[in-house]
Amino acid sequence: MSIISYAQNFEDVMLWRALKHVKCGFYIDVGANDPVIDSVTKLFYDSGWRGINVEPDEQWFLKLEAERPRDINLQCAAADYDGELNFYVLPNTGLSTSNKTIAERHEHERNYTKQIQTVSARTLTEICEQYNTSSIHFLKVDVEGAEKAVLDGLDLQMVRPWIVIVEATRPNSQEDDYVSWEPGLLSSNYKFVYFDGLNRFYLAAEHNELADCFNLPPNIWDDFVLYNMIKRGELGVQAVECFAVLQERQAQLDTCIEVANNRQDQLDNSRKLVEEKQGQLEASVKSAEDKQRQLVESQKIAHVNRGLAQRRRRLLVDVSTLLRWDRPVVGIVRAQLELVRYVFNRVPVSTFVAFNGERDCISIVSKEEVARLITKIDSCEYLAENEDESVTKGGLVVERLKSKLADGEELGVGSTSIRFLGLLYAKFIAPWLPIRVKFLLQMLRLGRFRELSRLALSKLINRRVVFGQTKGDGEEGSAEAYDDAGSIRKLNEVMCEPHALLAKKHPPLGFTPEDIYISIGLDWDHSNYPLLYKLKKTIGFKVVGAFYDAIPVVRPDLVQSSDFSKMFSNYIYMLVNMADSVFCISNFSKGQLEKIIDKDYECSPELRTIYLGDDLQVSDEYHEFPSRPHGERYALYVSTIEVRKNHQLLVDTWVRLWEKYGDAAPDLVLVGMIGWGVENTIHNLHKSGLLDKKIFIYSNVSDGELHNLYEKSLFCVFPSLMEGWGLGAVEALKYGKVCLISSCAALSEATQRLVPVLDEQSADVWVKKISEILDQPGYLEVLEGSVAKGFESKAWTQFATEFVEFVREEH
Amino acid sequence: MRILQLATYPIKEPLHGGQIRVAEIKRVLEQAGHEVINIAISEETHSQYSDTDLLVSSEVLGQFVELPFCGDLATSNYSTSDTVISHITQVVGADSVGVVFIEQPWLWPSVKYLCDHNPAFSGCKFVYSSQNIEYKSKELLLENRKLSRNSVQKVVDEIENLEIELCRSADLVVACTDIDALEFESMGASNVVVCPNGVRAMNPATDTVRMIQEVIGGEARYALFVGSAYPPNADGFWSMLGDSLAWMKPNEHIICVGGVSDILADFAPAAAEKNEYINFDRIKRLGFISTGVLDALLDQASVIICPITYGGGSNLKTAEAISSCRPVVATEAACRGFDFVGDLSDFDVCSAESEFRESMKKFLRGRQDYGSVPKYGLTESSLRTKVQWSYTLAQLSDVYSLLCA
Repeated sequence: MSIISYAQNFEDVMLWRALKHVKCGFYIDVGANDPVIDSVTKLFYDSGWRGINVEPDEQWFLKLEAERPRDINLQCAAADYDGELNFYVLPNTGLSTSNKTIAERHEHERNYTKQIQTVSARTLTEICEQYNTSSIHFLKVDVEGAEKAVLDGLDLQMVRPWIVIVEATRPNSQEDDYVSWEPGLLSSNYKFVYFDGLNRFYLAAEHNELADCFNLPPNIWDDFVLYNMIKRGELGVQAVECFAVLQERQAQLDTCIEVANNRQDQLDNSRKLVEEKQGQLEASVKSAEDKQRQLVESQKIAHVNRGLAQRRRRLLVDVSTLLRWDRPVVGIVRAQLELVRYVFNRVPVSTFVAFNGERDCISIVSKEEVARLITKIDSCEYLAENEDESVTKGGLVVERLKSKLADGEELGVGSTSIRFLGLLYAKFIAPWLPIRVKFLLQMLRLGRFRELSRLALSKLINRRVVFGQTKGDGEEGSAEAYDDAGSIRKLNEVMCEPHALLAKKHPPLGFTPEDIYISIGLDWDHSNYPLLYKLKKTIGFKVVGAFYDAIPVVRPDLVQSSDFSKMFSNYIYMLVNMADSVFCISNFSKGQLEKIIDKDYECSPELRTIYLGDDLQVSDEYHEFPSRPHGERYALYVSTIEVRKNHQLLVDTWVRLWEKYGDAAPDLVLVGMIGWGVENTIHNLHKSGLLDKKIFIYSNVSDGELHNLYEKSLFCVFPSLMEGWGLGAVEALKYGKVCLISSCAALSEATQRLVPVLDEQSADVWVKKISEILDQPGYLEVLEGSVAKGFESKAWTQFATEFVEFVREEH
Repeated sequence: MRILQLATYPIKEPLHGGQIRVAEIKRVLEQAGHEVINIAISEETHSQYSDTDLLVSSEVLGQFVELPFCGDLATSNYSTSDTVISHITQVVGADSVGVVFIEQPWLWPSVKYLCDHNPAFSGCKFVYSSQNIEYKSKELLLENRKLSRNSVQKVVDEIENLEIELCRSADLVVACTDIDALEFESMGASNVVVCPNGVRAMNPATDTVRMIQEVIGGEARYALFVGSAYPPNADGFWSMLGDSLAWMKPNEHIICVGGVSDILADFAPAAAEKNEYINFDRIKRLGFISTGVLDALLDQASVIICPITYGGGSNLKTAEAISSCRPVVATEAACRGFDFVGDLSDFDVCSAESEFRESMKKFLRGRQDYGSVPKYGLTESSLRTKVQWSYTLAQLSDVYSLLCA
């Protein structure tokens, strides 16, 4: 059987050749190092030998202790004296030495770091004496340059190893280094027999018979295998075994993965199923909630109807605004329409009323007519009616606008010539007119009290109109006699209340003191509050009104008309004095009205905030969508185009977006009729070159098309300078769209504080925010997420239910 | 006693303060038993004249004084013409005149002439009745009118000389105020009495009151504001009532009478502009009306307001309000010269806008007691009569004693 050679340079092969016949031999290994790797004695130990291992390095000593239990392991250095010496440890190498020079050389050449340990030093003689060694079959010395000291510490007269093997080259070199210590051996009757390139073998003279064993180097006849080869083989076997295990485990893993994938698929399917079920559940919940809400609303309205019936109350709902409306229904008119629809369908104890065109008479409108009115509006019949009309009441459609722009015409009623004439009148004519004529002109200009105008005019024709002068104190001249009859006539003229006359002349048939009159339309344009006030005083019915905003009063500059501002103040005055209760569309508007009342008024009706609804009536069986030229990516602004709505800011913003992004900038779609005071904005838009290229204006848009525009918009904008609510912004959120809004308090309230608020005076701020939306992936989705999570929608039926309940509560 | 009363404006239909004063003086003298002949030598600017009046055209007067606003001085220069002298002579007749009441100094030259040439005027006494210092009034009036300083001074000097001569010649000078009295004394008057302006006792006709009630009618309430076109009247109105009348209810009004009706809108503050329609629906501007209708309006008013906050003036409107026995809301400035208002019932003196409005509301919405029958005790009734002509001109009822003083 082959022997295993563990030694570094076949030393154990040579020694085995000579000593294999020795059973249980004894060795001394000075500088034993690792008990296995490169060990000269391992072969012998495994063959039953034992010996003394001298090793000062603790690392190897501990291993020897662990693996050589039969050996005597000594942690010390062999030297030529007993004591201590410095041992220079080079960890994890076999180069530790007691030779300082060599240690330093290793540090320098191999970048090792030596550690200095103080170890005990003993002579081999003393060690042998201690352990009473009788026969030492071989002595191996490998002490990295300290061989002389070791050999000098061995009395070779007393202790006679059969073979002495000593490392004979300088550490890590082939340079001979035996000259200093060989003479000592030779003089001790040892004969040099072999050099293996690293070690020199010496044979004791008395064992010369072994000399022939050193004639040849290690060869196949020694029948040995190297330990490293076996190790490699073993490792290979292990590797194969490991590989096999690995393959097996890989197969298991693959199986597990497949199972996991299958399970994942099942999980995904389950998840989809769960999501479907979740969706169905949510739909069911929503449906249940809708039904619940409808039930609650029905209960409420039933309660209301019972209440009204018990108290013999009847709702008189004014439809004056709706009767005269010929445009898409937005804002205030939407609110009136939805209330009318609701009352028509659900409140049997109700009647509809309206003023005539001259507003000097109010009468009942049949339910058939109201039904026709609702149908007409829902079916967008006004769109067909308006197709051939280039101008509608109070507004300008886009086609006429573009024609005007192309022709270079002046836009709107704010033209320079008309303003100049107005100035001339105010400055030079009005001051010279007598009070009676001025009063008459004022009434005519306002279009109010036409009956009074006719009365006054008829009287004036019969009188001589005197152009008086302002006199100083004490000079009260006159050009006509002031008799009692004339003075009474004058008093009669001045005190004449046309509304009282109208109330007497055209009393509304069928109004009773138990009625509750409701009007929430554009009452300053379509109603006659002074007449209503007189009727209320005469008949005694209750009145419920609406307050949308105080913009014409607090910001007359935004309505471009001081007359309208004055008229609106008067409208608020009559509303506050006449109404028993008033609904406000936002807490902001309610606060504005409260401020006005606190400042000047004596009385205050009951005020209540009721938020408007936000759902659109989507039914386009009567009308098809026109083909529109805007692109797929667009921002949307739904609002009348007037000064207050701040379209100028959007023009400025989009000019800059165009400069920055070019064609990649989203389009801007503006939906609304063109109102007053926007001539400059329209001119600027025309000059920018973006009209019909990047910015598109559409009027006469049906609810169905509007629904489509909302759904497909990228986002919406609402930069209005002042609002009472902001229905367009709310509708955007209803569609899950982000709406960038201005800093109006009402807009924040309406959008439930879910969307970004931007400075309405700074186009830079809007450009920056829109750029963030365009440039930052996922940002728009994050904003939409906030809307989806937080927005609470409100149906118009809900608004109407709350309103009717409010009416019932108060009356 | 036969008394001749001469003035430069007729009193057939007394409208302005001067006419009213002359008419009241005539009434007091007649009530005292004297025969009073009233003759006006007047420009053609009035609506009604008596048979005893003489109208003088502006063409004639223009020959005497070139400067504007000097028709009165021109009349004075014309007053010794044959036309004037023969007219007065004819009206007076042959019977003796005991006293000549010369209202303002203008007709003194004709009186002087008559005294020298007409036996009917022999030995008569002269009473100079004046409402202000005329030369000073004229100086103020002609200031800043871009007129020649020399011409103006000439006119002022002429008037001053006229007044001085009359003061020295008159047997009695009747002044409106204490300050005027001192001035007349300094000009040489030796016998001066003070008879302030007053107001008439109101006596609204029942029919007129009924017509007012029909016109106003129902639940309507009104506050009455009477004033001339004197700017402080309009200023005071807005200062005390505020730039918005929204605090008034739709059935509450302010009826505005007199020249202030014409200037109220012009003096409205800028803050009132947005409330223009509210305000001028509440304010009913009547302008000039008859005395009878004014009395009825005073009688039926829920409250009378006197909101003037600064300026001179005779505060006759306050006197009218006091005399009316209706609730009054007035400023301190309006009550100058009427120290006893604190003793009057339903008479609020307010110095701030909020106070003024609250008082107005109180009377507009409180119980409405109408009727000119005084509801106050004797003491208060007697206080209220102190503002009437019968009280202020009471001294003149014994003009004889005054002339002998």
